[in-house]
Formats: sequence, structure tokens, C-alpha cells
Amino acid sequence: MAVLLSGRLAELQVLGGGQRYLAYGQSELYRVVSIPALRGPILDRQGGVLAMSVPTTEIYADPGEIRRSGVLAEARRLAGPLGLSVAAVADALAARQSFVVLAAHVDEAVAREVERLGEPGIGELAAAERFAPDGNLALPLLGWLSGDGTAGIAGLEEQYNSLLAGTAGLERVEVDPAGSVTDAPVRVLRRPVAGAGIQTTLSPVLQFEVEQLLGRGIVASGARAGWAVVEQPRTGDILAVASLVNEHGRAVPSPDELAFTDTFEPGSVMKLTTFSGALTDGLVTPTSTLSVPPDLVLGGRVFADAEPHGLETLTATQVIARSSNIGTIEIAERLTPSRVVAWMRRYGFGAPSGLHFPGESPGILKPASGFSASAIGSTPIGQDTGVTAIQLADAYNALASGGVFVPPRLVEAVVGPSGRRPLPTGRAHRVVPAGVAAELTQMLEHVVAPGGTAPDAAVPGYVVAGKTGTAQIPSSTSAGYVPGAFMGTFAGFVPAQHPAFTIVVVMDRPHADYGGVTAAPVFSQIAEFALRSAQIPPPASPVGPDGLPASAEGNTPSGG
Amino acid sequence: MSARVTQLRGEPARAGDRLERSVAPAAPARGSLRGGAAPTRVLRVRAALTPASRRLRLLLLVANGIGLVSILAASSVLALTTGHSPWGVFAHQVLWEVIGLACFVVASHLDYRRVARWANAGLVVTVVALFLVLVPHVGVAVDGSTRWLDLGGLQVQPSELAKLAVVVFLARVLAERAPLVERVGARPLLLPAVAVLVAVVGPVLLQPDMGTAVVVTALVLGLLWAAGLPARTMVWLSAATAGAALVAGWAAPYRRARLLSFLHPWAHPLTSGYQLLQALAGVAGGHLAGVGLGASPLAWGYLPNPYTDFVFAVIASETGLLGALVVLAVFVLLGVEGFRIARRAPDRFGSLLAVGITTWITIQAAINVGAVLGVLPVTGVPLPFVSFGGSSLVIELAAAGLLDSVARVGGRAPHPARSSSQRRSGQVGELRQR
Repeated sequence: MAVLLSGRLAELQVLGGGQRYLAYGQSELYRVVSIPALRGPILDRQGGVLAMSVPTTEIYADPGEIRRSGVLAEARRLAGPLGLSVAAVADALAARQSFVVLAAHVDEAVAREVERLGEPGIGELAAAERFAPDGNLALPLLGWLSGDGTAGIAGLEEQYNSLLAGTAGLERVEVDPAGSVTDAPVRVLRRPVAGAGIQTTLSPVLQFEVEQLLGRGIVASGARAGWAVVEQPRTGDILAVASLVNEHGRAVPSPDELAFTDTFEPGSVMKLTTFSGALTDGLVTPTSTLSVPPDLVLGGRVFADAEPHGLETLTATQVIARSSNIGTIEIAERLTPSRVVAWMRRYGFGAPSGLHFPGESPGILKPASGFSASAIGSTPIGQDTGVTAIQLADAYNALASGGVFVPPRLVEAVVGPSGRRPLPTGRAHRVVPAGVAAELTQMLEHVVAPGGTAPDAAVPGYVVAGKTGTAQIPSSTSAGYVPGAFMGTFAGFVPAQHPAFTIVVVMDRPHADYGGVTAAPVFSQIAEFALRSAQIPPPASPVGPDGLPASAEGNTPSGG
Repeated sequence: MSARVTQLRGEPARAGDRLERSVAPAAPARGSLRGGAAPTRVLRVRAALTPASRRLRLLLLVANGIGLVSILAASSVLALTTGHSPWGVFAHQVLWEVIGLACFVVASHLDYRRVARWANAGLVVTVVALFLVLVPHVGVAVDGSTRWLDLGGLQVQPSELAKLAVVVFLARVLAERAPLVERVGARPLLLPAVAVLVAVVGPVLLQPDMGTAVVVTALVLGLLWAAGLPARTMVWLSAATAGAALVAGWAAPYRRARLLSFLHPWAHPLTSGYQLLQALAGVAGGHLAGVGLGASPLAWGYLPNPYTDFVFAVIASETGLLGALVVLAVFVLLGVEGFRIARRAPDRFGSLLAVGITTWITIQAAINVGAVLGVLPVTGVPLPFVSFGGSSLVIELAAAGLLDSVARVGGRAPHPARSSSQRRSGQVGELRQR
């Protein structure tokens, strides 16, 4: 019998016969828990931190392990280091739960102090806090983390989550039969790998100023919300992207990055595409004249211009400078519906921007085959279509880049422990011949000149090329538009002849009706700041006899 | 009755001084120890320790020491985590050890032959107590078994007493009747044995306490074998007992389930198989050298009864194969020493007494360890001298005291008067235990 039992012992303990029992026992004894990996930072284009994770410690209590009579004394000892009131700690320690968080994030000094106290029933867990040194700067763009801080659920945090999150480690802890973790040393099964950082193309200074100026514009115009994009010609780098909502007269970050996610009817800013097509195809020249009647009836719908007028003759340049709907429709009719839509597509409308931003909208662009009788009137002037601010910025940026469409870029590199790895850029492609781009740029300069629709967009000393847009807002509940509600837009670039910044400003339902009144001034302020901070000198101009530049105004009045 | 003992040893029975006379010829040294006093009433053994006694005491010391350490290791962590004193269970056991030690000392200084006088009374008291346990409101039930009697706050387990009572009684009766076997066959041995089995094992099974029933049955068979029951009779008796055990085990669903659950612990890992799986996991985790005292999860609440019936699992887990083999070795050596004492006992009663006690201790240890290791059904017997327990430890130590008494009387040099033939006829154990 002794031999049998000894053999059984040897079999179980040293010959491997007990492995499955051991495995079973350990499955009961151990629990594998994850070690959070430190989330990577989001950086601006200069390497500054927009958002970063800071290791913290979570202090929790297991009230079941604390004697009721000792609660108050223990609370008194803990309250100080934790910076909490004795009553609050006592309440937590007396809770009828087995896990109560006393402090979600404390720094290392506090954690060590609490550990030193060695109070019964108090535990510490590794945690991390997402910290944005600049507060709410670019918040809608950066996005949000889930409640436990482990996953991005919006914005760049969501889009680049797999890079930022890193890989959680695993450790094996011992639990008693009641399921509580014992004091036994833990065994790290897999070390956590900290997440990589991403470097955005954002300019922190510009981003800050854009938010300030946009916010002021929103509050001043009583708009519900507003958003703005600043893009760099030729690189497609997005230097700033702001999205604010008006909360009782205060501009605060919007929940979503509206510049990427909000689709709106653009209105006249879309006229760019029709003019591009007509100029490229040789249907018009900047000086071609058109006979513009007071109104035009297409498919039973009456089209008119913003300012009533009689029959007049306008050059193509004047049509765009004054944003004549009827003149634009006449040019679009020469271009034909399918070419109108094709040119919109060519500029990137109706398709995602390629940023793959979470919740980004591709916009709405109806094919020419589905055109109604009035569509050749509405589509060229920016109705019946939906665009996003980033699509507008990309389109005007193509013009600013000499007719070359440059895919936008928001994240330029991944910054890991092994260094900085630039992300591949998209392929740039020409959308209009350079000559046409130059012609169009000159035409758009007239928009900002006195006599154009948006003299407010002008920047003293510089030449601005751009276009206003004032569009009605389609009703979401019925056919037609929301009465009295408008989107005011200005899209353009500066300096017109050597563009450094492409800027789009969108105002959602400002009190004033016209985009030129609401969006243009914000455009102007942003452009002025951007030019100044980039130390871009005004174009060299002949110096007058008084020693001052001959032309104080950048944009010259539109001719005839 | 003692007269028959002396008769068996080939000495004339004389009323009045049977026991003394039976001792006297065998113990001149003791006489000298007593200062050459007259061979009159020698009821106490005051001899110096014999080598056998020393070895026995050393083994008992080791076994009880292992027990105390294991109980502390198996109980303190859980006590701490539940807000009790880590020394609580240990202190309790120390108290029982003190009481048990006193019983050992008394029993070892008692001339074992005197115990024969109490054999009948002891058995009667035991059987009465066993039946009392079964009376509702008298017996105290724990975990579905009614095994305890409450004596004014002190709970005692008559089934533990039963083992000792059966050994003493049958050793006496079988010693008396062994010489009859050659003349009239096995019946004189079988009758008292079967009677005891019915009277003791019956109520024990009703408690139910299968473990004690098996131990008692085993020691009865051991005594019969040692007393010279013919091999053929032994075979069919064993077969019949085994058959009866099977029938008894199969009859009640509770017993059947419990008897069979050890064969497939995985079937119900959270209920009937839980304890065994946890024990096996702990034992397997001990590997060669163990995880260290107090460091086995078995002692933290994963294993029910970690310091009573399953203390061996904690030992194997915390001290590994090496520690577990030491424990097994202690019981093997106890067995060897016990049967050696039986062989050298001065009379057939002493010899049978030693055989009975040794069989009891070793069989019980084997059943306990076998259950813990999953090779035998779990029947709820403690590991002698090691498991936490009051009644069982005290009775075991008392029994060990009797064994020691036999060792000390039998261990001295054979009296010249005792021929070698006498020794052979008196020392059944020598023939049987080879």
C-alpha cells in the first residue's frame, strides 16, 4: 500500500500525472489581468504635445476588509494624502461593495504615501490620465477616449487608436476563493508596449488663433456653430481645423469635427468648378461678355440673382465677382450637365477626402443622368449638392497650388520608440491647366475687391483670392429649405499669386443672411494672423513718392 | 478470562494472581528495578525504555510534530484572512496533544495485561455509546453525519473509542481461543469476531461513518489473521466482507455517489469532485520540494477541511514529494515497529494487541492518504496523529501508549525460563507478519 501511495505521489508531483489537476487548480487560483499600456501622444507639427497620457495610480478600497469600527480612524489617515474630506473617505470605506474607487488618478507621491500608510483594504491600480496641455485646443479633432481611457471613440483618438493604444500587457494575479486578489507577488506574462505617438500637421499657434477668431465670429454673428480649415497649398497639410458651437453666447468645442463631418449645401463657392470647366474647355474667357437677364426659368423654377437687376451685360469675371447666379447658369448650360458634374468630381466633391477621419462625409453629388429640368440651374450655383468644409478647402487649395489637386494631410508621421516614421502622402494630380488656374485666381481676386461680394475678406497689403457662399439649409423634415436659415461660407487663399494658406470658414445660421458678411471677416482675420505669424511679406509694389506703397489695398477694384 | 491468557502461555491458572503471575517469570529485570521486590502485584510498567519503545516514541514524536506544524500551516492563513487568530486552531490542537500525551503516558506505564480486564466493559460502553449517537437529539450531527455525543459541552466521537475497544476486546478473546483452532477449527475465532463486527460496524455504518467501518473491519481481519485463522477461512471471510461492503456501499445512493465520485472527479468539479480536484491540484503543485509552509492555496480556503481529513494534501503541497514521502515513511516505520513489537510481545494478548493497534493506525493512514490522492473513496477518516481532532488523537495516543507498554514489556531480554518453543507458540505475529 505504501509503495502504491508513494508511486501515486511521484506520479502526481514529479512525473507529470498531476498536470491537468495543476492546470485546473491554477485556473481557479490565478486570474490573468491586463496591464494598461501607456497611450501614445498626439503631437503638433512642431513636435509639441496636443494630448498625452500620464501614468497615474488609482486608489481603491475593499470595504469588506475594513473593520467597521476602524473606518473613521482609517478615513482620517487617508483623507489628507488623498486630498479628500474625511466624511467622503469614510462613506466610501463603509460602502457595502467590494470595490470602491477612492481616487481615480493620483500622482506617484500620493500613491507612495498611501502605500506607506499600509491601511487594510486599500489597493492601488496602475492607471493613466489623458492630459491636454492646451486645454480644449483642437478638441473635436483630437476626439475622445472611452470612459476607462483605453479606447479612442472619436476623432484622431479613434482613427489612430490601434497605433496610439499600444498593446496591453498581461499579468497573473492570485485570487482567493472569494475572488479577491491576494498579496502574492504577481507574475508579468507580457510586458505592455506603450502606444506610438502621431504627429499631426497642425500648427499650434495658428490652431489657437483660428479657434479664437472663429469663436468671436460665431458669437458676434449669432451663428449656431462655425468651422474653419486652414490648409497649406502644395503640401495639403492641414494647419488648423476648428469646430465650435455657440452655447448661450459662448463658443465651445463641438462634439464632432464639423469641418469633416457636416455636409451642407455650399452655394456660390461651388461656382469655381463650373468656371474651371468652361475656361479649360475654352467656352469662356475672363473677359467674355454675357447677357444676364433679371431672372431665368428652368423646369418651372425661377432663378434670380441676390441683388435684383435689369438685363445687363457682364464679363465672366464680373459674373463670379458679383456671384451672379444667372450668369453662372448660362455658362453651365454651355458646359452641359455631365461636364458640370464631372468638374465637381474632378475637384474632389462627392468623394471622401482621403483623410479617413471618423464620421467623415463624402458629400452628396447627384449624377447628371439623374438631373431634373431645373438641376442645370441649381447644381452649378451650389444647390442640390452637399459638401464638407474639407472638400471646399481641397478644391480651393488645388487652385492655390497652381491647378494641382493635393490630397489633404492631417497626420504626417508616426513617432515610435524607434524614431519618427513619416506616413506616405497621397498622389497629387493636376485638375486644371496652370494657365486656367492663373486666370481663375485673378478672377477670384475681384471677389474680394470693392464691388465684389466679399470686400470684408480682404487683408490689407495682400491680395486675396476667394469666393463667398450663401446657401439655404435644406429642411430635414420636409421638402424645400428651412425658412430664414443660411450657411455663410468663404473659401479662398492668400497671397493670391504665391499662396501660403488656403482657408475655408463656414458659419452655420448666422443672423445676417450673407456669407460675405459673416464668414469673410473671420477669413480675413485668420489670413492676416497666418500671414503675419509666417512672416510672409506683402507683394512687392511700386513705392509712391511719399515713400508708402502705391497701393494700400491689396485687391484692386474690379474693372468694368 | 485472564486465566485463559496464562493458560495459553502454558502456565497454570491460579485464581487471584493470574495477571501478576503471568508477568513475573518474564520480567526479572523489572523486579530488580523495583529493588528486588517480591513478584507480587505488578500493575505498572516502570522499566527503562527499550530500544523498540524508543523507536516507537521517536516515530510518534515525529508524526505528532508533523501534525502540529501542518495544522498551523493549514489553518493560520485562512484564519488571518477571516479575522481570526492565526494560532487558534493550532492552540486547540496543542491542548489535545497535551491531553493525548497524558493518555499516552498513563497507557504506556500501565501494564497492558491489566487492560484485558476492561475489555468487556469497554466494548459494552462503546456499543451503547454508538447506539446512543443514533438516538435523535442525543447524537450531534455535523455535515450530514451523526458521529458525536455531547458530554456537557465536550463532544466526543464514540466511533474513535470503538477502534480501541474492538482491538482490546478481540485481542483478548482471540488470544484465549487461538489454541483451539487446531482442535475445533476456525469457529471459536469467527464467532466473537463476527459478533463484534455486527455490534460495532452496524451502528457505525448507520451514522454513517464508512471510514471507521472500514478501519474496524480491517483490524478485525488483521487480528483474525494474526490469531491464526486458517488461510482458506481468511480468504472467504475477506471475500464475504468485501461483498458485504460492496452491497452496503451500493445500497444507499449517498454512499454509492460518494464511493464512486473519486473515480471521476471531473464529472462534478464544483460539487462532489471539488474537494478531490482541489487536493490533487495542490498535491501536483507541490512537485519535488513543495511550495513552502503556509504557501499552498489549499490552506487559503480552496480546500475544504484543510487541516482535518485532507491535511495530507496540504503537506504534500507545501513540502512536496519529499515531505509527503517522509510522512508515508513514518507510517511505514510505525507499521514495521508495531509488528516487530507484536512479534516480541511476551504473550499472545500483547502480540494481538500490538497487531490490532498497528493495523488500525497503518490502515487508517493508508485509507486517508489514498483518499487524498484519489486512489480510494473519500470516507472521512483522519490521518492518525497528524489530522486535527480531539477524540481521534487522544484515543490514538492512548492506543500508542498501550503499544509502547507492550514494547517495553516485550523488549527486554527473554527470560531464561522462556524457551524458544514458548516464544513461537506465543508469538503469532512472528509467523504471520513475515
